[in-house]
Amino acid sequence: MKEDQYISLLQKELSGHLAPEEKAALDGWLAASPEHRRTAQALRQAWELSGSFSQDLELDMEADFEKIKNRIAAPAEKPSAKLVPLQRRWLLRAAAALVLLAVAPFAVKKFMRPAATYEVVFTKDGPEKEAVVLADGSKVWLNANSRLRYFSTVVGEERRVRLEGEAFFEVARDEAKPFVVETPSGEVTVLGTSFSVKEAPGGNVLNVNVSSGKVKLHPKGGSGHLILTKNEAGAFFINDNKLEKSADPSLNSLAWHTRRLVFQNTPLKDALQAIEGLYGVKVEAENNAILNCPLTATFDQKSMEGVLATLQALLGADVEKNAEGRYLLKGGRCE
Amino acid sequence: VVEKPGAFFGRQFHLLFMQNTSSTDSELLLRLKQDDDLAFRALYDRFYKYLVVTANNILGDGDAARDLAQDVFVELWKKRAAIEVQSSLKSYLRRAVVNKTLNYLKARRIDYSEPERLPEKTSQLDSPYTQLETTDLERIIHQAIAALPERCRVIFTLCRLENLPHKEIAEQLGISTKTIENQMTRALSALREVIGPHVSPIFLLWLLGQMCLCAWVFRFF
Repeated sequence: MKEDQYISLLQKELSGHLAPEEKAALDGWLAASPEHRRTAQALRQAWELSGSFSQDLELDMEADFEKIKNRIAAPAEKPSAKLVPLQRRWLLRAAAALVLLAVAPFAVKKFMRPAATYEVVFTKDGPEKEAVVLADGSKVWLNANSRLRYFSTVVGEERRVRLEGEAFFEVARDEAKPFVVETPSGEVTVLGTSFSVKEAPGGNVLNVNVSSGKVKLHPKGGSGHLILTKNEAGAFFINDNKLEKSADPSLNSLAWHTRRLVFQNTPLKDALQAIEGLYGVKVEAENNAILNCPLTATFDQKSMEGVLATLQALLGADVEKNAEGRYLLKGGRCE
Repeated sequence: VVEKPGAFFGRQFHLLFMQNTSSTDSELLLRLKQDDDLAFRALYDRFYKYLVVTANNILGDGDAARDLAQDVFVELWKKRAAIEVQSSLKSYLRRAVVNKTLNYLKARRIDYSEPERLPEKTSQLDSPYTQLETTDLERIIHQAIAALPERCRVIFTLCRLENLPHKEIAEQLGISTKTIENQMTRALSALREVIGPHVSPIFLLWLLGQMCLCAWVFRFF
């Protein structure tokens, strides 16, 4: 073996990584010549003296504390995950590439910094069909006009996301790390379950609907909380500072996610509202009298056309699509 | 958690901070858990520099070290309620900044197996001296560590100063233990070269002392 290999063995001995069989080889080499022992001695000395290595630096304590304060008060976000219509993406990419090229020489140092630990997704027009999969395996489906900030790695004692708008969560079970959904007015804490959270931007109410498991709804700044279990819903009325639990959440409150509409003697006008909400269309009735007809039907994963065909059959009405893309129910009567 | 900046940082720190100097770390941590912003500032004054120096000793990059130490403090405030300190707060924070440093290094995807040019010997070390004091040698070794190529320095300091096992460094940086051993060997060879064959008499005395101590201890077996 060459000298380097023995230096490697010495290095292992000094850092406590030397295997017993290597020890014999090292001892043999040391015994072989005084020159070897001198080398070993110098290495040992270098090792000893390196242990106190420290470089002093000048710090501006006040300026640095200011930076920490600012980051605590308003964490900078990285709105790179904004969803844009497909045809505009290439344009954005080209623009981004140009900007990158322009700033690259100046930004190299900045880019060497660690990546932001969280990302932001937001939706505009319709609900996202694809779930956002978080680092812990939990899935989140966002409804329209919603915004989710989530961590790209799991750090610390909890899994925390921030939501504005509405989303359905399927949380991977991890009892050691509670999953926390933070909204502007409250927090929903769970260990592993599925549920939806809704707080319209600037709205007056935070709604939670539990599909499975158990969650805790905790308003910000308030002392009380609600424990909600399967098929329970809870609401926090922000202006009145009031928490309320309802045992039977509205049948269709999760329809935007499940694409399943259930009507049980539901007045047609309420049913149409639910249909409009799910499919993002407008449906009107020419004959106001039918709006109070009770409707009983289940639409599971149906297309808009399928739903209208059923309505047509149940009510004996005709459906017309007018120029503005609105649907019009003509004629018809209650069964 | 977005805090209300007014409520959190509105007060005059330095006035009350003066009274905090005698608080122990665990008292400060307890107060921090009760959302006490003054305790946070006191902890910052106590440990910020220590954390910057710790990260900088590994990275040799003061700007990055500052950012990482700031990350630790931002997280310390945000996670204050959940923090569980096993041994001491100081070692907890040190470990936190070392973990941040490891993540930072990993994110940079440095190729540690690529050869780097070792630095030229510094002129100061070219003069033939035989009567070096340990303190001089120490200074020379420290300069030599600071002059190590980046990858060599990172691995050497993680192993030597943070006492991280080779296996852990390898896992954290996504490289092999063989690469670690190679870099450690390079680092140590480079450090040996700066002292050359000139071993300080004080160090020899120290070694002799150690050997005597060993011999004395072994008498009892």
